[in-house]
Amino acid sequence: MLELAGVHAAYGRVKVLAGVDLAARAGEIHCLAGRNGAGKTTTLRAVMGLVVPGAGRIALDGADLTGVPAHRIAARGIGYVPQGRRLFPDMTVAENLEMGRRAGTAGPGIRDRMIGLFPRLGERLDQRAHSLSGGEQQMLAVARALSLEPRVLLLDEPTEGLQPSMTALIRDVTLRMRDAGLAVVLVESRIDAITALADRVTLIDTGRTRGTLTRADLAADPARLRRHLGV
Amino acid sequence: MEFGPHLMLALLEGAVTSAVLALTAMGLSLVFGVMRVVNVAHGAFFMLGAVAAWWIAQLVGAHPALGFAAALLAAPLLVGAGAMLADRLILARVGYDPERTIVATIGLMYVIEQTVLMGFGPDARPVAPPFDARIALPWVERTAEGLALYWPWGLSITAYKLFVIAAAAAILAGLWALMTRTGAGLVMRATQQDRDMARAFGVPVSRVFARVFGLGAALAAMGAVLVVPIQQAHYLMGGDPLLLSFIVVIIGGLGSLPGTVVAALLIGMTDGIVSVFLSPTLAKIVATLAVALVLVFRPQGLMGRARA
Ligand SMILES: Nc1ncnc2c1ncn2[C@@H]1O[C@H](COP(=O)(O)OP(=O)(O)OP(=O)(O)O)[C@@H](O)[C@H]1O
Ligand SMILES: [Mg+2]
Repeated sequence: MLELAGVHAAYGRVKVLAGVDLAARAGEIHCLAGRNGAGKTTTLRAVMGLVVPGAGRIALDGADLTGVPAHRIAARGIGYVPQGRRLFPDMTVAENLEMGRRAGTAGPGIRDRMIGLFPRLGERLDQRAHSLSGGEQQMLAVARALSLEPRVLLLDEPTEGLQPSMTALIRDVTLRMRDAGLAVVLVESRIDAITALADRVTLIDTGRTRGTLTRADLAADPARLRRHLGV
Repeated sequence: MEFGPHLMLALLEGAVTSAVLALTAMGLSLVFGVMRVVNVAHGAFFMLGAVAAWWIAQLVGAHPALGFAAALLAAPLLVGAGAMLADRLILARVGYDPERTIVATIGLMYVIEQTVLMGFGPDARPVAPPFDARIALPWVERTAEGLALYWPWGLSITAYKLFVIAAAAAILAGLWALMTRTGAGLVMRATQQDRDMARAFGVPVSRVFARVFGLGAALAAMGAVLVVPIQQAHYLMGGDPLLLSFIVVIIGGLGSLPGTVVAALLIGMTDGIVSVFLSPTLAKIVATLAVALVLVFRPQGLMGRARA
């Protein structure tokens, strides 16, 4: 569904990506694993058009995304949950959800579905995003992305810094989205999370992918992932 | 005149200044807040609004009220369209880089002023107010039977000045509704709060910038149209509004719209009171002092949020 081939990207003169390949399929959770600074966030930003690749190809269902301006990517059906949440801090919960809805084609009913997924958000619709707790902010970031009814969901370390119950909730929603047929790309650094969730894992190191493992590969050689992450 | 009526007169004059200043400064604040650039040509857009008002009023002729109404509608549209063009031709080309934008808008200001000087000449031109009634205002006095109203000699204001206050309040209320109740406002706020995330959620940021720059200039032009029946249009009239708008925006907090209104009231009222009781020069000194105090003790402004 979402394919990256030989993607290169740089911030000014600093080369950050030097050959990223990835193929995320519908109904699968595709983890992107690598050490700090490996280029995971930059890979997702490249998909969103927020960094323009210097070389390589990014395609959604075969349609090239590389030349598409950033503001037209979401409408193609890609929902983005960035690292550090990046909500619109002075907007209310309802307004943040509305930003997600406008980016896609969903009707106003989508909000109630999001509240069904995260009831806590329903109690706080008029509260400003910056005053939410960390866990609530993460729920809102996920709900904002889902409000555009994406076919592809990009999640960048969505459980970073959350307490276990909140982590479980986010993971549960991630699995439900996979089961609903979304292609999920999940940047994750915790081995237990990767083993529990991933259908496939792409290893990334200094801006290059170093292969993709299936669930079976992971089970056969658990040490490989451990070595790659250097833990 | 006694102190009470005199103070009331000063407050009314202050309210007129505040009203025009709030509109003008709001434009500067909006542009800075959403686009993160300082528009040095803002005063030139103000001046363009005044000159356009004179020109439109001439064109329409007929009754002053008709000419003025046409100017109030058309001048902001013209100036806004011009500003959008400047955004596409200049600001977008320098990539909204903060320093280069300052230099570019200094150039733009100069170009606008010189063009107006060539086309319109160095003379100040009046625009007739749409109505020229004067309203006498009552004051209270203590009599043997208790408090009673009387009309002190000299306590009056033109109906037009009251109109300026009401019009500015209505425009600001409209702006508030636009920002908080409409999709266009939501998108502008999204761009202001996180440009990249706005893009990731489908906001065409460069188009929003053009609109915000146009809206900012149109607000200055509205302030100017309201002011020309009191002050006359002149090609160098943009200097004071620019300076005062900066003062207001710094005191109110960069990019904070409510802060801008509060600061405009503060500066306008102080200006009214100090000008009436002491001297206009002293009023400017007080405003400058206020900025210095804010910069030292509350650099983020009265209602601005400290940068994280
Ligand atoms: N805006 C930027 N300007 C310059 N360099 C950047 C910028 N953003 C990231 N980088 C650099 O690009 C490299 C990859 O960063 P990226 O954020 O993609 O890594 P990551 O894999 O997501 O790391 P982490 O696990 O810490 O989130 C790092 O060396 C980083 O310093
Ligand atoms: Mg990262």
